[in-house]
Amino acid sequence: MFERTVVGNQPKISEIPGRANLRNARNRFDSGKIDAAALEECVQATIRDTVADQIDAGMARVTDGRIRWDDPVSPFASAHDGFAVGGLIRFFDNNVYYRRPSIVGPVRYVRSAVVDDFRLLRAMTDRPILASVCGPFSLAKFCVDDNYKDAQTLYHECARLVRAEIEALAHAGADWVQIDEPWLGFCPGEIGPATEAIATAVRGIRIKTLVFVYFAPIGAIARQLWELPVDMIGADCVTEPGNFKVLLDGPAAKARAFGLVDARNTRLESVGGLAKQLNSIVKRGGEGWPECWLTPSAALEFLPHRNAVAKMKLLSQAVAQMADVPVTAI
Amino acid sequence: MLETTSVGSFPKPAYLTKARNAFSRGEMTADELGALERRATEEWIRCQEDIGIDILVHGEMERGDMTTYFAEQLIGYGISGLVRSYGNRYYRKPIIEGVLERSKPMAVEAYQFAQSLTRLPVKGMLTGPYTMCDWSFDEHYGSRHDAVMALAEIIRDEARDLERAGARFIQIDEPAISTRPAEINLAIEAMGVVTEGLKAMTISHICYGDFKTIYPHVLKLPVDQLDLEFANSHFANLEIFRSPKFTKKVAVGVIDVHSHILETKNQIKEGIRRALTVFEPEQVMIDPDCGLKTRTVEEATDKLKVMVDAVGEIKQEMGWT
Repeated sequence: MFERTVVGNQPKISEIPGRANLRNARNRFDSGKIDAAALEECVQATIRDTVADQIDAGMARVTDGRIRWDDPVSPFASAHDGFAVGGLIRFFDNNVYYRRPSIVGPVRYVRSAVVDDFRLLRAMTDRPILASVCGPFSLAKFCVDDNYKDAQTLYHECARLVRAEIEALAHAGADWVQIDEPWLGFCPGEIGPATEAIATAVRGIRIKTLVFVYFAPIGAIARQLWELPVDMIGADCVTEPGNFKVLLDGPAAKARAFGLVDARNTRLESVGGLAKQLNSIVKRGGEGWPECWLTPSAALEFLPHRNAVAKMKLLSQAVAQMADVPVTAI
Repeated sequence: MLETTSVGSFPKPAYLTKARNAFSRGEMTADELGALERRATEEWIRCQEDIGIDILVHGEMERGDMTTYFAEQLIGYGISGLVRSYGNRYYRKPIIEGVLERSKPMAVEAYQFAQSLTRLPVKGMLTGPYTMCDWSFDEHYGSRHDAVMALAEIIRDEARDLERAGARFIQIDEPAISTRPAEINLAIEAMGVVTEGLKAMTISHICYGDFKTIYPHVLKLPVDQLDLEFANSHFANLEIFRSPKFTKKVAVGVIDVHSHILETKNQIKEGIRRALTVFEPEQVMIDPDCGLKTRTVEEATDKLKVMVDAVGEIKQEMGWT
């Protein structure tokens, strides 16, 4: 119980001497001072570093830290047909920006954006791995649709693309994939077509699936989330503390991921407070759920490296301290 | 009509970037670095004069990041490690660790030096309290309202110091204002503290957010001019401001500062023409979308030149020269 993992981009650079410096490598590549092979070497070293950080912090299931991703949508928009690069826009309510893609033609799967890094990670570690894709609804929402001009069609085509990505991961041997769906919580009025798109992407696929929602409340869409044909629902319980109870109240047959430590503020939560939350989960029958994961509230890349590592370690410390804390009623 | 200006930052020349690195390694004194910052500032003032810009900026040669620069000088702030903001760009995000206080003026010296170099007006440049808060980690206040209002008092003192130093234009940047539309009243309340009693023309720069979520409410922001990016959206954002009528002065961004590609004169003229279908000519200044610091010196200079050329031709066509 209480397997720990991370749920998004990890910091790409560190202040630890001797570590790979991807920022410098990207600058040097852009200015023609190193070639693509040297940049790739640095990317892979950075992935090795982020895996080592996760293992050191007690993460049972590791990720590649999405080191190649600047945001959840651009890897897919650049790998597949139908997308064009657009203007710069803020990533939700963060001081982080991405180029919002436009959909300018039929969305067509070309070649997986994520399988190569899954294989790379598999070769680096024996630990269980959590792969990730952008969910179909969020993929559509992250883009400007200049092609379909019909939301239902757009969601369906994005779902087909995401399904192909998940199938590719399954074929490569992945056993769990995180489907990033931050937009779900912001668009409760579209939960019907959104869940239909997710279902299209995952139904019948032989790989376990986690739908993770961050930055927004899930209370208004809880019923539809629990009915999704996915194995696990996860949510940011920091930005929206009410999501903690929503996850507690879900059906016993569904696994959960609780985003418990704040991925967007350096202030460290108290270990005792976190341990109380874990005891609350136990009291509500968490040991009977198929799985119960503990995660940061969102991608830890919003924090400097040393703070991100501290947040991961907090999760492990809270589990270790659980036994010392009285079980709290909700 | 159609005066030209810039948003704030310009690229640092290579010798200054090298010097800043040397300073951070302890291999250069603050005085040595300051001399190079003044040299670079003078180069940018001359460059803007040569190009024919009407209202100048000092170029922020002494600043790394627009939030961190002020945070580093305030009591109550700590500075974190690097976090990524866009692509391969990082900044040291400040951490509010205690009660915030100003110990000395932070922006006046650079303004005074730049203004001493030219007869043209130079803007006094500040970062607004809402953005200062939004772009910091908060380990102390726990209430965004309290943190923003504490910063408002500090930025107010800076604005008054700039006005006392002779600034006729004071820009208080609030790029984060559209981040949480539900908090726009907080940003307005804080700006009210900053600009109350100022006689200088006040400006607020806003960029890279979803303007439709804050329009027309943002017209209540107590400044004289809003400085907005439009080239980034290929001027599609203009439509947001068509109705209800825009009631402030506006600086229209016509240069994409995140593209290496140099805009053509005709592209800029077309953008200006489109802007003039939304705003009255008397309301409008022309500038780039945002600070040009991410471009090379040559790119930034070329972009400013073509912008000024385009404005000149539009004025001639309209008979405004």
